[in-house]
Amino acid sequence: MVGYPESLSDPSYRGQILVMTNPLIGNYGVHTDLLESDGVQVTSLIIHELTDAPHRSSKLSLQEWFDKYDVPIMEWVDTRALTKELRERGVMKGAIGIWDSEEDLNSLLKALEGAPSYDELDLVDEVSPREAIHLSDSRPLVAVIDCGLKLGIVRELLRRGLGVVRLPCSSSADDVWETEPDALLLGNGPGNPELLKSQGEMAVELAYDGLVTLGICLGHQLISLGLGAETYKMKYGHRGQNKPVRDLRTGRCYVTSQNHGYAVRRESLREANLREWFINPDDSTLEGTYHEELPIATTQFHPESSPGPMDTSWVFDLFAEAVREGRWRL
Amino acid sequence: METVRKVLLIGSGAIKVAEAAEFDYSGSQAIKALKEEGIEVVLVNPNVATIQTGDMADRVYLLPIRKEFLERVIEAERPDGIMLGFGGQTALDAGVSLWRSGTLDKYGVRVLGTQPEAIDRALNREKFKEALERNGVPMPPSRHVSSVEEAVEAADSIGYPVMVRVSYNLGGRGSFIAWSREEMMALILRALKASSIGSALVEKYLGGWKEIEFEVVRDTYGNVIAPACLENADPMGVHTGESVVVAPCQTLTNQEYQMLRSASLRVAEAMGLVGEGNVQFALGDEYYAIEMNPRMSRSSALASKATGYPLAYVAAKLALGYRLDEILNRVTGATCSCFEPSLDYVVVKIPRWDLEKFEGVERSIGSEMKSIGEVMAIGRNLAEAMQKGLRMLGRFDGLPMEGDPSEALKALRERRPYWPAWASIALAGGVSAEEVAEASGVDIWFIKELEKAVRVYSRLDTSPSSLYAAKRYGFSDAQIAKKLRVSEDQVRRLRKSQGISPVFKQIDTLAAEWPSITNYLYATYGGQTHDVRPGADVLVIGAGVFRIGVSVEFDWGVVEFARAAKEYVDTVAIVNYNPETVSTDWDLVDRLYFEELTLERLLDIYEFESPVKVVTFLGGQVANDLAEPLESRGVDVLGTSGSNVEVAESRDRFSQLLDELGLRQPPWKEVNSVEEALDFAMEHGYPVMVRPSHVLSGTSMSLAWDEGSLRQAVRSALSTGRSVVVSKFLRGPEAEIDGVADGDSVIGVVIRHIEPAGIHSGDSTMVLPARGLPVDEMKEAALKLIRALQIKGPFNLQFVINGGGVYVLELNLRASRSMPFSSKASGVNLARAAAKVVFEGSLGVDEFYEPAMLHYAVKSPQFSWSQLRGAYPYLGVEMRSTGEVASMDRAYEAALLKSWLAVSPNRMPERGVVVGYEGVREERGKMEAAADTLASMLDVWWMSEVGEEEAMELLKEGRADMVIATGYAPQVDYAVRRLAADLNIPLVLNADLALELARAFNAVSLEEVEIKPMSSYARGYRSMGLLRKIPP
Repeated sequence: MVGYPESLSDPSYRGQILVMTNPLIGNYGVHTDLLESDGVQVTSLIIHELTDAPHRSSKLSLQEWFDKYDVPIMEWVDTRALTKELRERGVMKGAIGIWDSEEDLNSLLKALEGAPSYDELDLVDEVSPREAIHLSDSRPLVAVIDCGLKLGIVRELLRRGLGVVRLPCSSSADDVWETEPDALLLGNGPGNPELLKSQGEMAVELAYDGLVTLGICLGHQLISLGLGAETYKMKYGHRGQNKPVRDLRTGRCYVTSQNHGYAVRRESLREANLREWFINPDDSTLEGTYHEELPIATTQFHPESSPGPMDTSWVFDLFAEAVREGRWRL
Repeated sequence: METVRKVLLIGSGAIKVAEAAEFDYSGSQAIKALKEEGIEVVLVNPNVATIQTGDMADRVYLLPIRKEFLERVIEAERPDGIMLGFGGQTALDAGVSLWRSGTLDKYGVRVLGTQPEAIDRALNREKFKEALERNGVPMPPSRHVSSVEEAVEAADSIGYPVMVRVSYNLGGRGSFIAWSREEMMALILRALKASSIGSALVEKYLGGWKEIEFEVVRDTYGNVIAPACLENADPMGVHTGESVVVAPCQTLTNQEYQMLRSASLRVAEAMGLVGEGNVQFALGDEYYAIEMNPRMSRSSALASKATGYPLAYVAAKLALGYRLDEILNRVTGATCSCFEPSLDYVVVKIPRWDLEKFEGVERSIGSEMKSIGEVMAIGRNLAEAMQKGLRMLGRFDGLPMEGDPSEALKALRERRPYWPAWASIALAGGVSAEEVAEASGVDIWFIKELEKAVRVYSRLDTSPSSLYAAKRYGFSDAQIAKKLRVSEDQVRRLRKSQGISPVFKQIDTLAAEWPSITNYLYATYGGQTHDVRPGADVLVIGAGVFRIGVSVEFDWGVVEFARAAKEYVDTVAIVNYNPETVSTDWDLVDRLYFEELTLERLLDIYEFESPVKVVTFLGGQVANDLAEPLESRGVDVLGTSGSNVEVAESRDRFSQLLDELGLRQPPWKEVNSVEEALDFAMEHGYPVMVRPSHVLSGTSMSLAWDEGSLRQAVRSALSTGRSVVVSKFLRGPEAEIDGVADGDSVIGVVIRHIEPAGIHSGDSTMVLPARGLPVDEMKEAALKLIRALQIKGPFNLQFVINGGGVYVLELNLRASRSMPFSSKASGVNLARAAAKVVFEGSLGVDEFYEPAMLHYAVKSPQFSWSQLRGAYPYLGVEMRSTGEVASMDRAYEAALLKSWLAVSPNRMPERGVVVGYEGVREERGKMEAAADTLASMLDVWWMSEVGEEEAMELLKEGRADMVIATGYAPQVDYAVRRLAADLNIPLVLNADLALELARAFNAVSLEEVEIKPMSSYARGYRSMGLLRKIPP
């Protein structure tokens, strides 16, 4: 519906062909500030129809923006039918091409077959910064492990007066300590979580050493894995800005932005000394945890939304408070 | 929470401008939600044409929605809970007054859902503003005023232009924009009068800003979500009921959307909303909250249909204390209600106006609602939805491509109705999108989307890619045929040979992300695969958009028939597109096609579902007109055969049939010139009725009393390009039969009108049973006709009784407007009887069966004079009422009185009555008798004696609180009738009705009238089932 510039600039979609279910995309162009990264992240976009009109806040049309990054848009696809396929089969490999003959088509199919699978791609390397980026030196300072982090998360931290340093995804615990942080944030990113398992373990280690830690989306999964919990592929992934979560401490229900095809297994939390914080009432999958002893809390959904409802931005208030007090009040 | 056992639900009363069938839908959903919990439901609603006043609730009271009646129902029923949020502003106001007066406390009745304190806060703009500002939601600078002086002072300080909004009003009534101090002075008094507390708000005018609405749902635990965002394509300054509304919001960025969404949640919190509400915003460089409805509204009904999220059902559950995440999403059957639907389609709502029916009414649209109905269209792009919507209005073939572009620009600037049509004329005529956007005030995105369609049409040829593009942008076969200069059937064949057909997609609330069990469907060319497999056995065609003459009464028939059909076949489908209705509730039947009622689309559905049987006799004239074209293309249409329907509709053949059967009819002649008409009048005498041949529901009919008016009437009727029928107008009482026939016998009800022939039956007060008329002769005529025409299904036969003789006026072979009334009053559900006929073949009765009645039932028309500013209130051969109510009692006078009082703004006159135009000679005696009768209770002023000025003073000062007048005489009493309408003073517009009412006022006191549920009068209606036990 709204928020396509945010989604298309979300590094979590790196290496992916994104299919949008809303049939009209491009309605208000692209405002090039306040994006989730510095440009188009998707490999391609499949939509039903591209639209265009000047909007007071837009700098470029969607087409112009994609042209700038040389990324193709495929139009006039029955994206609803395609969504139904994807919903049953999960993430699939895809290729976009133009063909006039059977031969062309076959060579396209062959190329697709030969392409590496999404799980094998090291996409993090493409989106993670090469070196530390100091965004604000205020104290307390949050070290953010950036494996393809959405800038919306960083903005939420800055908005609360926290210092922020973005670190490469491959950072070691020592690299983190070198920035003298007061807290740690492990956020979202593209690709197969298995390839980043070590970063989860590192986060746990840092939390043991006293860093207040927040995990978001991929970060939630990595930290859970690092603590010994398990993940699994869901029957139907959660992708959209309209997903409910229930805060099990208060019983309150919120509408959130979510983008995940894997979930942490609820039954495996006990062994990891994790407690359930949020669940999705639709399918009872886990949407957030906190640790019984360590200063760790995580959300599977995106409390920064961007795009999406801001109903759970209070998670960052809690985090800011935790950072200042040295512990989560959960 | 305490368990609730019995709930009183308040309906919205008659349909009027700004309060229509959306409250039948929301009330029905609420009843469904309550019955699921095993709660006893008592409904008060005099709107006899609704589905909710059928057999859904445990007890239904057809009574005025006013404190004194509600109190007596509470006393009799002793409910432990009351719901105020499902009957529009009428129910809310009535509920607040019950709360204020302590009645609810007295009887220990708990308000379920949003509490009265909160309702009061939301409706009082000062309190509302205070609460919002405390919660960080800005409102436009404004000041509350309760006098002319205060208003002018406030406007001067805010600076012109200012918006004046009435506190405690209905559909924005009385609200206006003042561009200058002079305008303020001219209009403020009426605004203050329209408020039930005599106050108004003067605020900063935000004309030209975007208007965005959010539907909000909140539970008692504070969980709050916004399931729908509606974007008004018309700018601020145009009432949302008058706007083209699009869902989801199309032109907002994420930041804008989330800012407003979050604000809407804060508004709900600030108001203490429990259940459903609607928050409206103005968005420019900044934003303001404009208002909030703490109840189901027209917009929420639209939002329910647009998103698939059942707002009313959920609101009712929340009022009972459920948590949002405990309520199942019934569309998926798997997910919970604490989510916000994602839409993979575009919805367009377009209002329909009938302004040409009203003499003197203002023709431009603005801050007051004047539209009568609305349509909702679904497509995969804006043009597809918009073109569908324009066709659904019954006024366009789609976006018009021909016309004068400068005239179109002028129309856009003047805010004339139907801007999309003017926009496309302008675009097709070469005007730039920017200029159209500027003239209309509509965001350029919408205009550019329409421009795409205009461009496709201009390049249209017979190539597959060109045809497919045209279909994707919503062009009908008929539009394409016009451009390619071939027939519509040829276009259909051509595109089908190219494999171009629509696909049927589901509305599933989550854009296919989860499997869903819904069969809520629409057709589109924006896709390659169907979401469902064919499987319907019966397809019932709905009534489409409401307009003068077509309203909820036809929806009643569609719904009752569809329910009955379920007892005979497996899969029942409905096609309809009116978002206000129960028939477009997707869990009513097995399959809902939210689609156009055009031949093209019905053939699409038929071809997809074939073999399926189609029912056309319930959805009024629009559906009925489809019977023959469908049948001639091989579709199996249930009921009376199309060729016999043709006989009834062809004046010539029907007249011949009447002659053959020995039935009398007024003399008539088809003429092609004024001279022929004058000859006819010479032979038969005046008055003469004039109408174009093939006329629908009184449209363009007129009555000529002398040569001058006959010349004028015939000339104007001939200008339509068709021949004209003139007939001798016979004076006398009018009567009609509502019935169902099986080709041999009839179940029917004879109805008498209080107003004489010459007043449209839809505007007449109807009485059952019809005493004092040659009823047997009418029944005999009916039997002859149904046997001759082999009528199998519903029919309506109209008579005039002249000089003791019965004359047949017309026969309609379809469900009539009065059928819900005649069914409920008599206890025989005629829509169900129609199902019995088509599925069983026989009614199982002999000859003419009319149920015996030991009570009286009276149905009164509801007019919307006060909403239709400037319109001259009068009754005639064309219908002008917008709704109806009914009541029953063992005494005729009591039934009449209750029914009349259930019409807004009627109330018992207490001080005086102004008698306006006294009518032609025949009526004068009755007016005098009425005045004499009233004189024992009231002061009576004849306008012919006191003069117009004095009469108006009496009304303004409140010394007269009723006006009676008859006939048509704007030159005599326009100002007086209009003033009464503007001041919400009851208007009685016919001498016969005035006399009957005067007698009723005299004969009964309000304390004596019966307060009894409908079932205590007409026991049969609920228990009758499919008529298997009808006595011989």
